[in-house]
Formats: sequence, C-alpha cells, structure tokens
Amino acid sequence: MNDTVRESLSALMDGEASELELRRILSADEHAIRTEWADLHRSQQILKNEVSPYMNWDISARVMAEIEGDELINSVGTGWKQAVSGLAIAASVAAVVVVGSLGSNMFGGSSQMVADNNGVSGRVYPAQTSSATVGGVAVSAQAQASPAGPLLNNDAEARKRFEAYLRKHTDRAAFNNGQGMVSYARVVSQESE
Amino acid sequence: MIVRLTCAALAAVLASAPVFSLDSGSELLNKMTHSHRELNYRAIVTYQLGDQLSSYRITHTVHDGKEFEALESLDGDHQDLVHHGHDINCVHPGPQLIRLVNADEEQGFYRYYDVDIEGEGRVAGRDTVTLSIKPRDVYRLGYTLSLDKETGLLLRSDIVNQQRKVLERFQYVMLDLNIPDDELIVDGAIEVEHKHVALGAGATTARIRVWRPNWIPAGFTPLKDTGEENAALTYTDGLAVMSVFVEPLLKTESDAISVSEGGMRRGASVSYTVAFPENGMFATVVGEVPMLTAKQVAKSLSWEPR
Repeated sequence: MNDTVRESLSALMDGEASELELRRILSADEHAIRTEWADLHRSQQILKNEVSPYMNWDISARVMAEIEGDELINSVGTGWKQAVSGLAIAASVAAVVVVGSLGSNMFGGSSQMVADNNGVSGRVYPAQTSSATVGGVAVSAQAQASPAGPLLNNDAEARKRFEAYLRKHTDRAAFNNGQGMVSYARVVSQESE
Repeated sequence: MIVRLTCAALAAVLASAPVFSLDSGSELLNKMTHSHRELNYRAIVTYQLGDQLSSYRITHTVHDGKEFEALESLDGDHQDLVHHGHDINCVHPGPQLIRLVNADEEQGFYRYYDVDIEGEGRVAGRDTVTLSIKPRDVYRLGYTLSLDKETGLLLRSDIVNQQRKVLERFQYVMLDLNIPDDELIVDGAIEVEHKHVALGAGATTARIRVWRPNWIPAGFTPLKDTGEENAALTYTDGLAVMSVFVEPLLKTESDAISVSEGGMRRGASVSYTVAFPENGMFATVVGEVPMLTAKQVAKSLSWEPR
C-alpha cells in the first residue's frame, strides 16, 4: 500500500475523507487496507487506554451478506442514486468492519465464527452505540470511525442552500472567530465563482 | 496520562522558546480577539482555497465608539461588503471563551485545544508570533495563526484538518495602521447584518424553539440570538463556529422541497443536511468544523412533542 492510500485511510478514520479518497481506498488492495485499518484503530485505542467489548467480533461476513440482500432494492434507483448509495454502503461497511476486524483474520476461518453467532445475536449494529449528552466530553472509537457521508457538491439546489446558510452563518461567526470581516471572504469568493 | 504527556511536551516547547512564553502566547491570542475591532487599519488580504487565490481590501475604523468595516474584492467580480454602527463595546462570546484562559488553564478554550508557540516570523512586513493550535478531540479543526507582535492582529490563519492538511488560508500582504478614523465609504456596498448575540441564556429561547440538538461537542457554547430563534442556533468554542438551521420541508401544501441527506464542503466550511420527515422539517449544520461534527450534530436533532 502506498502513502497516498494510507493518508486517505487516515482521513476516512477521522471522517474527513473525500469522495475521491474513498474511491482510492475501495480500489486499493483489500487485504492490506483491512490490516492497516485495524492497526490504526488498535493503536488509537491503546493510546486512549480504551478496551472495546467488540474487540474480537468479526461481523464483516454478515454485513457482506446483508448488502448482497440489499442489492435488489438499490438496483431500482437511478444512476446517481445508485452511486451514492453504493458509496454509503461501502462507508458503512468500513465503519462496521472496524469494530470487528481487530485481531482476527478477515478472510480465513472467521466466517464460521460469524455464522455461529448469527442464531444468537441477530442483527448487530455496534456503530450506533455512541450517544453523549450535550456538553459531555465524549470521544468514542465508533464516532471516529463513522464516515463523512455522501457529498452533495454537485447538487445545484443543495449548493444554493449551502451558500445562503454560509452567509447567515458568517454573520454570526465573524464576531466570534477572531477573524472579523475577513471571514466574509468565504462568502464572497463563493458567490463570485 | 495523555494530558500529562501533553503538558510535558508543552513544557519542552516552552523551554526551547527563548523569547515567548505560553503566557505571552495566550495573551496575544486574547489580544487577537479584540484588537481587530479596536484599531484603525487598512489591509490587503489574500484568501486561498485549494489552488484558488483571491484578494481583498479590508478597511476598519472606529469613530465615536462605533465600528466601520468594509471588505472589497480586488479580483473577479466586484463584491463589496460594509458593516457599520457596531458598538465597540458590544460583547461576543467567542472572545470571552478565549479570555477565560487567564483564570484557569484547564478551563474553557484551553481544555479543548493545545496551544504551542511555533516560532517567530514576518507577515506583511510585520514581526509575528506563530501559534500552533491543535484540537484535543476529533470534533474540531486545527489552526496555525500568525499574530502581529505589536497589536495581536491575526495576519495569517491556516485552518488545517486532523491530518494537518491546510483547508484554507488567510494572509495579509499589506497592513497600514495609520489611517484616519473617518476614512471611508465604499459605494454600492452590501450592508452586513449584525446579529445581537450574547452568551447563551438558553432558558429564554427554549420556550420558543421546539427543536434542539441532543449532542454538541464539549466546549461549544450557544449564542443567544434575538432573531430567528425558531430557525437557527449558533455555537462557538472560541475559534470554531457552527450554526444549525432548520426549515420546513413543505413550503406550501403542494410544494415539497426535495432534500437529500449529505454534506457540502468548501475550504474549511462544511455543511451537513438531514431531513426529519416525521417532523416535516430538515436541518442543516454549517460551520468551520470537521464533517463528522456537522453530521453528528445534524443527526442528533430532536423535536419536543407538541
């Protein structure tokens, strides 16, 4: 795996990966990616002194099976919808696999274990476990793994709304971010594009 | 443990910075929050977004206790903004959060960012001190700020993501601090709105608003906003600012807006939109924060049962 892919992966982990980076990750060598992804998370957990109860779960095979089942529904959508949902699925797989991939071999042997678990646990959504109250200091490993979601940069409607919101937001931000009037360059440069 | 390590690292940095201590760094940061409102100056500023560079002339004066500001674009389409009559004593929460530092280092702003003095330099022909401000969690962006040694004016600002990649950059290329305070007037400029905002006495606005985010990152304080209580909320941690906007999905009975969930990104600014069909509303979080933050805040919105 080259450094570009590694950087993209690190970006994905922080929820900052662009669509391009996501594609780069998806087209790279799968095994190497999974290993690196697991390593990244393991080292972060060690850094944070956290022990996850999901450490040894591997639900990747089950997720794959679910996706296979979902494909029928997806194929009804139009081209771009398919593309977006495909990305979303890829992203959610990435998010869920993190939890399960630590310390186990993704391709050999693990599917048996997952199959054994199926009857007992049913559907498992560990990525949804994080919820913190307003003001609480909470950084969970799951939160960091969640991807940025689909980007709507090409949607003209959404773009227009974004500009209007950014303008209103800047009215509020300019007095609070230490930059003052300079903040409006963000709005102006956008409008003149 | 990590905090202690950071402190040790900080101490090491301090020991190696002969002229500036952390105190003077935070002092300068504090200065930054008000000097740009108090001084008379004219400046040329460049704004860089990816491979795009644009430039602006900024004029700021204080006359009879009122601020006047103008921003004129110097390339591309003519775009001018003015803002005047803002009371110089008007208090905003962002600077207040940064000021808290002097009281207690582990409080407020400094609890969420590590501030290091990176060195000294020159920007726009002025001597500067460069501060590296790194977020302690994944919900904020990082900053590299070059502040004018004499005035504390922010002369260069890089906003960087968690991978330290620069998302946008402001840089002064010329600064003139000797302009008369009645120097002014840009013709045909657009007046900028000033929201009367103060530190959030949430109780007064909660009565009107029926929605709220159930999660915001620690350290973000809501601004109290005298207008639009029902449509917008803004939070700041002293450097990062994010706003939540809520709009009905249906403008009229027949005219439904199609809203797809997703994010937008431009420079350091992102937005994330989530539809709440069961409430007939959609919410958009906009701000200079990581996409992750915007998304999580947008998704956490809930409505009071009516």
